[in-house]
Amino acid sequence: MRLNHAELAAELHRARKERREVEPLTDRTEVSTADAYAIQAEGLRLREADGETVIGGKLGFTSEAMREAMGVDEPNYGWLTDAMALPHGIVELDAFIHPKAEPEIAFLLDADLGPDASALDVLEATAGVCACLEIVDSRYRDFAFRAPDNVADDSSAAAFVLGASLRRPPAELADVGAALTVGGELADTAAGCAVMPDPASAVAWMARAALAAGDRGLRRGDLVLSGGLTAPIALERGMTVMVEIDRIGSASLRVR
Amino acid sequence: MPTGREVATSDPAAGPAAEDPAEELAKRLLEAIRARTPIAPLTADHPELTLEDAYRIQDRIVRALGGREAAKLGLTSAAKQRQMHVDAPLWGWLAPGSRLLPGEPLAVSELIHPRVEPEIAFVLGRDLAGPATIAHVLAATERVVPALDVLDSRFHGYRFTLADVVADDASAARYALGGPGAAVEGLDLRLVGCRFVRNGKTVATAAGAAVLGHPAAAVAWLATELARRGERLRAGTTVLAGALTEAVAVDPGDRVAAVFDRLGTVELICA
Repeated sequence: MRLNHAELAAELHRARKERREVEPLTDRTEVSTADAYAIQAEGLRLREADGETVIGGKLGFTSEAMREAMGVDEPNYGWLTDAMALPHGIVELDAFIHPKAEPEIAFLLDADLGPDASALDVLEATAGVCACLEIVDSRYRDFAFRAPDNVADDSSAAAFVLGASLRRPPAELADVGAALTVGGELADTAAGCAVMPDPASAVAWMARAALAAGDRGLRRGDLVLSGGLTAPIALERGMTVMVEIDRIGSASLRVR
Repeated sequence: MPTGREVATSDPAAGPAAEDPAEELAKRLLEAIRARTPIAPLTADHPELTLEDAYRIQDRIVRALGGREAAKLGLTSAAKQRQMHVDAPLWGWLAPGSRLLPGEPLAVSELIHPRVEPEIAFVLGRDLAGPATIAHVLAATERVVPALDVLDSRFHGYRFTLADVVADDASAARYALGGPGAAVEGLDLRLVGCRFVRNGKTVATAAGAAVLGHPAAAVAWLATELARRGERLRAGTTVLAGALTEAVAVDPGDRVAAVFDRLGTVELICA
């Protein structure tokens, strides 16, 4: 049976706008990875039709633990729009379904990445890196899904908060340490290579995979969130979350 | 080779031996070490054992094993403290000869059920008296170096109460130091990243803040506790500040490494 990509994309688009959970697509039908990216692309068209503009991309499933849990051996990607930026670091809980925050390293590109992009190409094309808290918000019930569902749902992309400073990427990006605090208490720590095998390689993977799939690639001016460094933190009203990354900076948010 | 040997405090053996279970309990632990055979927790038949009793037992063991070569801290993560229902870390001492020299394999058969964890070690360039803060620790530190702490609880299945593990010298068994290390000036030790690798596979990553929020806070806590006992950490002492990640069990043939941003690497080959 041929899937109706546009119909499934419209259902996820409504779920996003109405902050309503839906059942995983894979509970109802078989969804290939190619189907999932086609649904994702249809969904992005709907958001563009609503006036949103794509400003970059994001990686998911970048940790060994997540890939094992999902039964996949590759990361996935999704897209960011201008509507997802939270410039003041305030997360309105009611604007989301069941949001979680993940600390990440964000790359700002000042050159296009080609179909054979390597980690070195990414670093050469990087205007700077900054600390980031990504807000992920699965549109599926109880945040439960299989790998293709997550791709169709734009890799749970919802919003992001960036740190205040842009830095040249440190040479040891795989080894830099990160500390995540919630309400001032240490919640978790990690090093850059928690994003496998390292954050720049993850960005290179997305550039190659997106172009190979016939998607928009990663371009000059794009912001790319390279993947969660720690397990996500479920957000609650009144919560403050901060990530500090060595030689890169910090980013923080408050939930209202 | 740094040595932290000093201060025998009051001699617990001077008391009336018949009324002090410390002697007998220390013997149990020393026999477990010698025979490489785990034993039941001491608190199973001595539920009244206090933390002070436990440190007195530890003192006996450390003396019997040849004294203090390096200090180590345990229960320095919030997760482990919650798990043990305590709100403070604990300390132990590594004996002379327990340091594995570069290239020297860890003989697994000499131990009961060893586990390895990555730590940041402080090599003190000056005496560190308590009470101490992070600033005092950093000022007294000559270098920080990558370390692997090899634990070997003398209790079955690493199941113990706080008093048991203190008496058991914080499960101290062996340790390895790597390099090159670094001076602390300009380092934010909270954010020094660590990659923990077993047999070529990254098993965990972490940063220094996993140790009490700041590894130097663990050393400051130790200096402060020792001051209460009239002791101090001497120049030249190495202090293993506590684990950055969960420990991994090791078998003969395993290779374990910790790669620290800015500090370097420490490796261990198990035989």
